[in-house]
Amino acid sequence: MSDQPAPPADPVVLESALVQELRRTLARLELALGQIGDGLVITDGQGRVHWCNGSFEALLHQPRLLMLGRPLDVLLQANLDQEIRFDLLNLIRQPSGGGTFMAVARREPLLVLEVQWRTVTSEQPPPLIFSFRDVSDRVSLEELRLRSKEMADRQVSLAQQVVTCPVTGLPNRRGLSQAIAAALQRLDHQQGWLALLFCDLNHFKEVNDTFGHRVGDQLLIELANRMQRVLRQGDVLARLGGDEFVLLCTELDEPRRATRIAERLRDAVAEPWIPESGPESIEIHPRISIGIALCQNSDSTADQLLHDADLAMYTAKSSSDQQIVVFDEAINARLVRQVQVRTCLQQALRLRRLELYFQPVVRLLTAEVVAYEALVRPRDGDGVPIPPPEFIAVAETSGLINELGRLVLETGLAAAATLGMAGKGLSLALNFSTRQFARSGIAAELIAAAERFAFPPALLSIEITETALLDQPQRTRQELNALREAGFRVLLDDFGTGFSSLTWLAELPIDGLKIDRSFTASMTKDPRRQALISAILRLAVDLELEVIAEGIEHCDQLAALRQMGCVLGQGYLFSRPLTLGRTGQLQAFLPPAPC
Amino acid sequence: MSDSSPAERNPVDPHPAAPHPADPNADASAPSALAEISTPSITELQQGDRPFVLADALGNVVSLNAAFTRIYGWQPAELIGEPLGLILPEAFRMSHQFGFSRFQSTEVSSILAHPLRLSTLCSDGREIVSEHYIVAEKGEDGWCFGATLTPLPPGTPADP
Repeated sequence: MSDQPAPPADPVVLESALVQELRRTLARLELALGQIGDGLVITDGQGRVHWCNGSFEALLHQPRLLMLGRPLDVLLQANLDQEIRFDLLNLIRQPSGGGTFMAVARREPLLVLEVQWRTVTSEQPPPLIFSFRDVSDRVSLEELRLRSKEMADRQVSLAQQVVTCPVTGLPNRRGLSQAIAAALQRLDHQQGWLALLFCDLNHFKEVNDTFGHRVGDQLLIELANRMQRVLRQGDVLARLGGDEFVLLCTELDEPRRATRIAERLRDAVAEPWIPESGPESIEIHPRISIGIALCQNSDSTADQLLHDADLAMYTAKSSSDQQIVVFDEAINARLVRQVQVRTCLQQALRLRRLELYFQPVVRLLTAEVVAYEALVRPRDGDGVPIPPPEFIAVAETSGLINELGRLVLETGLAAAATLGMAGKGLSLALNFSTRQFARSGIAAELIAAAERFAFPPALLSIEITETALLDQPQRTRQELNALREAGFRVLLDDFGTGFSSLTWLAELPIDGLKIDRSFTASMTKDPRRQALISAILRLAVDLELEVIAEGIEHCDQLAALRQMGCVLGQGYLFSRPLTLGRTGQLQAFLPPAPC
Repeated sequence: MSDSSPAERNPVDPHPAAPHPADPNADASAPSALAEISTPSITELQQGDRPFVLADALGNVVSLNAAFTRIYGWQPAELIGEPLGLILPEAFRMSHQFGFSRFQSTEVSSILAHPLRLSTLCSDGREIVSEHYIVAEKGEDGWCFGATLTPLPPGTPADP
């Protein structure tokens, strides 16, 4: 043998040999995986298929090429008789790293699959491996139900042990409750205040809906990181779920300290954010609303504090100018009132009983009634009428507005029929909220209702405010155009209180406008207001728009309006809103105009 | 390749290359072992208007033509010597490696020599749905693989 050492092997040759060896191994492995009867799938961390074997292709009757890159749960639901319904995203987030469940894939003939899954924890995000075994001949439906229940129980038990959010790694509601309870106990022998800062990301649903849940989750993680950067030592940041975060602060020397922390949180979150994945050139400007609840002793409970902070947060969210609100009793009282109003509305809707009033619209020169505006005046538990802005806001936020609108429409048309308004050529005016025009189909509903009550569309006026046209311009215009084409009249209500651009007026799909009562009230004292009304009236003539002056209460107002050429008006000077009596007549008599 | 017998040629290649002298215009960056397969058909494909990419037995890119660079953005320096999987969306790479390996062991393929509609990854990360027509040839150093790609109009689904 030679003493000379062997020359070093060429690394390129070695690498080539290694790759060839690995390729042979891969080939044998895939052949082996193709032999077995179980369906096998490998997905990425988001559940998108990267590989599957022939048995899985046969199970779904789909070639592999068509499945690559597509979400596994979508493929299953599209190809297995719609019976497999498992939340793949939830599965991925489970910390257990694997599991087994049964699923009925088909009822006739019965196909029961035992699905095993596990994560490949060495990679981030961890890919998932699934196997699907047909166990139909081993499982009866009864056994399946039993096993399904056992599994659900086990999942509940596991969930109860989890105290952290799988997306952000922050404590969840359970973890937070434990931290609050411990902090409350410490308050008994500690100075200072405890504060809960309830933070809710504004418009998070839009982010999820527009860019997908992946971007939504990335945003939540980013916000959690940003918030954590402003925490003091000992503060606890938790994620309750969705877009809700709660910060627990203890040992605050004064309540104002909590507000300052909230301001730092708000500013930290407000930095623009660009998602790592998703469409290019997307910049999201996160904004949070924060509600603060404070306490100084252990009399409060974790649930009560969370409830109070939540209420304060909702107050902040519904406010146009406040992002941070500290809970106080006024907030509580407001909420109690909202609940009372909502209950009254729900009761009225359940009983289909609504108190409608009819305020006459008259010709200003002759006091002849030409129309009635139907007004809803629900009463609270003490019998006191609830002001329109209050009950409309509650109806809108509680989702009752559409049902309420339908009831007003039907009650109004029924009353119009009772009064024989159509035969007398009297118009009926009905008010509609912005939210009612936020959905398509409102025009069709109105047209159908008018047909049902045999009420001529030309005598039915729809009153809307400018905000309806600002909030949903395209949809609202479509609906209004459909109504006008059907012969209805559209009136712009409360003109002068909103956007009120005179240029804009020419473009709106309207037949007339109603000058807001605030203009009428002040015009005799303020010459500029009077000049404005005069200008509106002249413009309306040129645009062929009908004008109704609202809130006429005094003779000098009437005289001024007549002089300016205003033809129609309504107000207490002519008549208060009237009720429909049992005899089918309006109860109060229309008093003659005293001037 | 020019002196290989018909039996050595890939039976699934419907366009077997005719013998021809070595092409002096062949990509200089291609390994010398591949000069043998620079047959007229490969040359024509490389110089043609349609994007073309060539990979060796290890699955590494050995050449691409100007049309490929123009449409998908990849420069030769970015791709040559790199795995072919780079031009595939991530979800396709694992199946590509399995299929590539299986073919070399069994010499049986279900995707060669017929059009496949697949997404192709551009150098800037965009994906263009393209019709891939893949052929394989066996030389002294093992198999090599050529793919002609035809980009499809935007909006064409990857799965026909």
